[in-house]
Amino acid sequence: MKRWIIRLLLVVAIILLSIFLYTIGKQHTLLIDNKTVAIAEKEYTQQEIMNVYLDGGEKIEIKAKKRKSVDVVGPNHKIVVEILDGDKNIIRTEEFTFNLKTGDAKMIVNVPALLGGAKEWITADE
Amino acid sequence: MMNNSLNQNSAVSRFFINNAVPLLFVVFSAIAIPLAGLSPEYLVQEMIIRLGRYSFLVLSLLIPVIAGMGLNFGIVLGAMAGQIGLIFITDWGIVGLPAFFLAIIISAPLAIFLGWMAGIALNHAKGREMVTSYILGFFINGVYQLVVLYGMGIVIPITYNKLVLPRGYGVRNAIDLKNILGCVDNLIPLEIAGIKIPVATFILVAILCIFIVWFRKTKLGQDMRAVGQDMEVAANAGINVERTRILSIVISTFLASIGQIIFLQNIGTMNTYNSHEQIGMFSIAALLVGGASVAKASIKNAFFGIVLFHLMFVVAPRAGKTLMGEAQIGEYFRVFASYAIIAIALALHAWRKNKEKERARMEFRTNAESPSKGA
Amino acid sequence: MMEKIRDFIDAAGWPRLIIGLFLLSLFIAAPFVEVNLWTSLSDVIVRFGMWGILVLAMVPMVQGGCGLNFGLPLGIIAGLLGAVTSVEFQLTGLAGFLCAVAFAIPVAVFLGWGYGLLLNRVKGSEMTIALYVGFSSVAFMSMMWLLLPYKSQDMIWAYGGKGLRTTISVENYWYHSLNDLFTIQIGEHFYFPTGMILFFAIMCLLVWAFFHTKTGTAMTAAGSNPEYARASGVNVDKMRIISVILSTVLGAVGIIVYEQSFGFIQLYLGPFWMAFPAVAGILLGGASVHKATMVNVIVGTFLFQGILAMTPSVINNIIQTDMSETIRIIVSNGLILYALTRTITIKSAKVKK
Repeated sequence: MKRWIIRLLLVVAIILLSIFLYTIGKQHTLLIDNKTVAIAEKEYTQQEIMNVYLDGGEKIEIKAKKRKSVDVVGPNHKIVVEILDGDKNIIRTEEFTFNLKTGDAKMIVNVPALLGGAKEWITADE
Repeated sequence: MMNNSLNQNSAVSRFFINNAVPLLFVVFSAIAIPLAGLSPEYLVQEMIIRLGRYSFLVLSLLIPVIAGMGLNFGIVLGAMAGQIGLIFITDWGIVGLPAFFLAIIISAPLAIFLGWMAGIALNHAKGREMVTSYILGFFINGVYQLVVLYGMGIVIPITYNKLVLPRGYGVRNAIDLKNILGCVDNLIPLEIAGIKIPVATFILVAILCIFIVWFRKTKLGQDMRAVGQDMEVAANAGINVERTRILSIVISTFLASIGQIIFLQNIGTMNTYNSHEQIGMFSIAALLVGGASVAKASIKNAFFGIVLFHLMFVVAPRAGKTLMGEAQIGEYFRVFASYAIIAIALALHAWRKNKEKERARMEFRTNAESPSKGA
Repeated sequence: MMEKIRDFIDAAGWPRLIIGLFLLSLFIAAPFVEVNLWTSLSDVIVRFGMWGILVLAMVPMVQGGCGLNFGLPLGIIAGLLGAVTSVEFQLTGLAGFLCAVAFAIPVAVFLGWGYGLLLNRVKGSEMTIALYVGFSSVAFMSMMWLLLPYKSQDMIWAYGGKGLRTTISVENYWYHSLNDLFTIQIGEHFYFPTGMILFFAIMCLLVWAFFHTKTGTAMTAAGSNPEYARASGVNVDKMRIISVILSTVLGAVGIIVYEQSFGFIQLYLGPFWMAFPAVAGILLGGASVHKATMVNVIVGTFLFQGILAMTPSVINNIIQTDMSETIRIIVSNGLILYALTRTITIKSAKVKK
C-alpha cells in the first residue's frame, strides 16, 4: 500500500515538474509595434522613434509605423521603452512588467497604447 | 621452475590478447595522426567535444553487459524515444534547459515501454541476444518511421508548421534544434588554453558514472551480476531471472534516450530518420575499442574507447587522403575499421571463451587421471 | 481426413500458415485495388528466382552446425569480382554469365576457406561474428573497388575518375541471359523466366544430391551432434569448413543470377544488407538455426519475396500513399525477429515429442 502511495506521489511530482518546465521554457514571439492605434474610441499616437529593451536584452530601435519581432522565454517579463527625439536623445524612459500565459505563443505589443495606459495594449496575433 | 617461465610467458601473451583491440588502435593512431596533419589543439578539442557527446550513450551499454545480455544494440530504441520527445518540445516551442529536461521526461515512458518489449523479446532468444537486439533495432525503426513519417501531422497533432513536410503530414528530415543547441554544454562555460570544455555535460556524465558504481552494489545490481554469470545458478538462488534481464534492458534503453538528447543538443540538428541509426554501432564499437568484451565492460573502457575510436574516426579520412590521394578511401576505411573492430573483439572473446572451456576440460581430465596415477 | 489436416498444420507450423494465408489474401485483394494480378505473379516469380540461390546458400552452413550465414556478403563479394571480371573481358550472353560464375568460384572457395577457419575458432558465437565479418569485408572491398586495376569504360568513373563506379549496368553484356532462355510469355502481363528458374532447380538438385553423399551425410551429422559425429570418426572441423565454402560459393553464384535478372552490378555498400533477406527467407520457410531443407528454401523464398512484393503495392493502393520502404522494413525485420524468438519453442516442442 505504502509503495503505491509513494509511486503515485512520484508521478504527481513529475507531472507538476513537467508543467513547471513547460511554463518557464515556453518561447513566445512578441511583435512590437510603433503604430498609431485606436482602442475604445481613444487614439494612441505613435512615437517618432523609440528604443525598446525586453528583459534587459539588446536594444531594439523602432521608427514610426514599424514593427519588430523579438522572442522571449517564460512567463514574466519587463519591457523598457526609451522615447527619443529627432537627434536620438532620450526624452523619457518608462518601465513596465507583464505576464504571459503559456498559450500566448504570438502576441502583438502596441507600444503607444502601452504608454497611453490602455488596457488592451497586448493582443494575440490571429 | 618450468611453471614460472610458463606463467611469465602466458601473462605477457594474455596481456596482449586481452588488450589486443585497444593496442591495435593505439598503433593505428600513432601511424595515422602524423599522416593526417591535424594540429594537436584541434584533436584535443575534438576529443573533448566527442567525449561530451557520446559518453552518456556508451555508458548506457554497461548494465546489460553486467546482466549477461551482451552488447545491447537496442539502445537505438532509446535513441528513437529521445527523438520523439525532442519532436514534441520543438513543436510546443519550448526552449533552453527546461526543454532539455522536458524532452527527457516525455521520452521516458516511451523508452521504458520499448525497453520492456525489447527485454521480453530478448528473453525469448536466449543465446542469440545480440543478433536479436540488432534486428529489433531495425524493426522498431520501421515502426518509428510509420509513426513519424506517416502518423505525425494526421493522427498525432503537430501544430508547428515548420516541422511538417510540404505534403501536409509527416515530420521533416532535418530539424533545426537551435532551441536546445548547447543548452547543457554551454551552461557552465570553461575554457582552458583555448579549448572549450562542456562542464555541465561532464557533470551529467559524472552523475551517471556514480549511479553505475552505486547500482552495482545494490541488490538489483548484484542480482544482475549473478544472472550474467550463470542463469541456472541465479534461478536456484531465488532470483527472478526473466525480470532481472528485462530490467537491465529497460534501464539501458532509458539511459540511451537521455544520451541521445544530450548527443543532439550538442550537434544542434536532428536528422529525424538517420540520427539514431548508427548510434548502436558507434557506441558498441567505441566500448569494444576501449577493451570491453561481451561479458565484461567498465567505465574505463567507455572513456578510453570513445577517445581511441573517435580519434580514428577523425583522422582516417585525412590520412587516407595523404597516403592515397583520395579521402574517399579514408572514409571507407573508417567504416571498415568500425566493423572489423567489432568482429575482432567478438572473435577474440569467443576464442578465449572456447579456450577456457577446453582448459577446464583438460584440467578435469588430468585431475580425474592423477588420483589413479598417484596411487 | 482431419488427421491429415492436423498433421499438415503441425508440420508446416502456424507462422507459415498465417503468412501463406496472408499472401493469398493479398493476391485475392490485388485486382480489387487495381493491381494487375498477372504482373504481380510475374513479379513474385522473378524475385523468387533472383533470391532463390542466395537463400539456398544458407543451407550448408545451417546443416553443418555453423548457424545462419550472416556473412553471406563474403560470398557475394566473390560473385561481384567474377561479374566485374567478366565485363572487363567484354563477355556477353550466356557465355558471359557462365564465365562470371567460373571466375567467382575459386575466389569464393578461397574466401570461404578462410572464413571457415575463423568460424572454427569461435564456436558458439558464429552468427554474431559472421555478421561483422560480412560488414567488414564489404567495407574493405569498398576500398578495393577504388584501387583495383579494372579498365573497362563501362565500369570506371567517367571523366578520368579513379576506380569502379557504384552501379554497373550489364545491359550490353549478359542482362537477362538466364531469364530469357526459354521464356514463357502469356499475354502482356505474365512473364515466366524459365531459364532462371531452371537454373535454380538444378542448383537445388545438386545441393540435395550432395547431402545424400557420404560427405553430405557426414556434414549433417557434424552439425546435429558434433560429439557423436567425432566419435564416429567424422572430422567435424573439416566438415564445418566445407559447409562454409559451399555456402560462400552458392552465395557467389546466387548474386550473379540476381544481377543478370536485375540488370546491374552493385558495388561498394550494395551487398551490405544482403544477408538479411536470405536469412529471413530460410527462417520463414521453417528452417531453424540447426536444420534446413530444400522445402524450407523453396517455400520460404516464395513466401518472403511474395510478401515483400505484394504488401507495398496492395497497401499503397488502398491508402493511396507510398509506404513501400517503411512496410518492407517492418515486414522483413519483423519476420526475422519472429523466427529468432520462436526457434526455441519449436525446438523444445519437437524434443518433447
